[in-house]
Amino acid sequence: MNPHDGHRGRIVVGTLGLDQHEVGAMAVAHLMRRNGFEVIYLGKHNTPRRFAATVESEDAQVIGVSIHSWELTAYADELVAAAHDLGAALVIGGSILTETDRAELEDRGVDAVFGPWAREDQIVSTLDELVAAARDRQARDAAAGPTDGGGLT
Amino acid sequence: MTDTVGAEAGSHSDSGIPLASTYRPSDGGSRNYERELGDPGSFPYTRGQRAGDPTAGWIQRELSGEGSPRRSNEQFHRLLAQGATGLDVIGDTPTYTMLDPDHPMAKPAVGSAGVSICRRQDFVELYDGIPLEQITASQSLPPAFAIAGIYLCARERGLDPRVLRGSAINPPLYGEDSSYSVFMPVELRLRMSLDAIVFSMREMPRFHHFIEDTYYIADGGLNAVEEMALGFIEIREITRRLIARGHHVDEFAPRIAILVDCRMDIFEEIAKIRATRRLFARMMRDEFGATDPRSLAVNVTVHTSGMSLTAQQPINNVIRGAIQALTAAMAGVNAVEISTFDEPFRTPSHTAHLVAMRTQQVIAEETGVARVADPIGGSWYVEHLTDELERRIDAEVRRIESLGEIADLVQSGFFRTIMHSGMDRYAREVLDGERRVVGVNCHPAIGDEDELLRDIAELRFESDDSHIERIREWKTTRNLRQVEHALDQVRAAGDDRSADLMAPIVAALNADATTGEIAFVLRESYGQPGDPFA
Repeated sequence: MNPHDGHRGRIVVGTLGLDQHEVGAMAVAHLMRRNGFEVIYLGKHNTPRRFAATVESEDAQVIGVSIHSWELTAYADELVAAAHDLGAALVIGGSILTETDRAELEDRGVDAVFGPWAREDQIVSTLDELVAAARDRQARDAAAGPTDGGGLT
Repeated sequence: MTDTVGAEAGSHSDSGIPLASTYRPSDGGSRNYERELGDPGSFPYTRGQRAGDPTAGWIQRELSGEGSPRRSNEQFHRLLAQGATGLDVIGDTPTYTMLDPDHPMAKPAVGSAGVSICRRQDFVELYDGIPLEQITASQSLPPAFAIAGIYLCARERGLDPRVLRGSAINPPLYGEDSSYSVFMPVELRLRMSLDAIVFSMREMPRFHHFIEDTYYIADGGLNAVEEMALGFIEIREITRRLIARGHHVDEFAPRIAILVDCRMDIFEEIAKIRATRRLFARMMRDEFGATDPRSLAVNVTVHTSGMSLTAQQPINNVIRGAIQALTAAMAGVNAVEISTFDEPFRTPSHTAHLVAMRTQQVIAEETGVARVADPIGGSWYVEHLTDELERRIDAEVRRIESLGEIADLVQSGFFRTIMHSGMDRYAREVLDGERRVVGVNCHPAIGDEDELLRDIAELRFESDDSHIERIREWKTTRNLRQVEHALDQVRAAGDDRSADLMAPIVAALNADATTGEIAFVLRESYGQPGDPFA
């Protein structure tokens, strides 16, 4: 796929809760854009509900949450449910994440977790896989028509 | 990649000043010693604020605040026992946002990145056993509440507030766009800041009521010129507004101080601090008519850069902190806080506090850095950088001020764009490898090298959830009629745009209203949702 054709996938990026550290979110948004992903950038003070509403309105495939706060622990399950209800993938990244966190978050259903050890090529290839899978799920859901178990509005 | 260490570094400083490969007397600028430099303690104070004992050193303190006020108080006492000579406390994000800890958005963040403060009793517990007339506490808390809180705390223990020392950061212009969102319009933020300053001038004359904190503005990725230009714009705006209220500059300028960032370009950071002193002195004398030497000789303190620290190879952060603290000491600052090695992961652990304190103590006790004032003064390179930074900071201030009213620029998002561009630029420079960061884009860890100090850096502390419950229960025990009456007074003052806000805020805190409740009615008074997340 041409990495610059603008259709590599749509990703909603932001920080969570009262966490005001935005540098990581900007860095990862930059990384995604230069690799051909479309980024819908939400900035600070987002809730799982806001991420989900944006995925729905923007037809995005991935929620990307950048964190520098332990608030994540409180929101992780709600985020997983919000993303998966819409067929989207949930990716969480941040320098504070440890290998232990990665295992725990993946157990809770987060699709990918990137700590400070993540390499750009790893991030991009993982996003490619998650976008492809999300597109398949969303296409199937669209073909099946609306259900009353749909996404958050 | 060819490993030509230093080849790129010779081309320009971190803020973009072109650099020659060597400097000579003709490059040194500042050729008129008396006019440009002067002796330490003499106008224009380039070489430092103090003419007296240069071995007095600096206040050694470390960022603290974790969980409840009681837990944070234990941190204070531990640091003082380790030799800290001042305190530096930061509120958690709900405290700074002015949301009470039992607010649904606050609960996941209570105490995890600072101390949770929402009431008068919290200040009393926070400073329990601390001699506030001797030990200075630098407070990164909402300024009106920080000043009201420490005032009430002194009153409660029978201490005359006039002897209180310490300081409060006061970030009315930029907080919303960087890391201190309070969900209030700029005019309300300015009004609260100004009223708090005037209250402090009158009631707590030894207290530094206006810390211009350029650290938090800059540490998202701004360079030294942008950092100080924005800092000076805020100082100038506050100064103009206080003068417009009828105060003479010499009434308040002696209690302004500047808390700056200190990153890795060490000579530029020294030059920045020297240029800042000179700019401040000239501005206060020539533009605002100050004559009191205390109004001209600004107190500069340093918080070393958290942004420069990395999650990779956390032990490298000890080295970065030591270099930056030594830089600050060479610049002759009044106080230093080192961002600790675990900063990429958490607020400081006990071990990290100890390492940072010992770092400062080794610098202070063993290197002799403070034996002579302004030891770098006269370096042709540093004098050139000082002149160049002064010129560039001043030009940027003039450029921005020519664009319109500062409050309008804030509201239009002008400064937000500068900050976001800085963040994006920094992130791109690291990603692209243009800015070399050891362990991140060069010299990666081999084998288990990445494990050094990692277990400590990654150690999580227990959350202080019981504090949330304690506040919730306490709220039900209050005299609600008294609380509501006090909040009505705050609302009435908020609605009357010419009224003083501090008297009703102090009274409301004293009547057991919380900071979240007070902020709620003030936001509503300015047509905003009282609860920004409702």
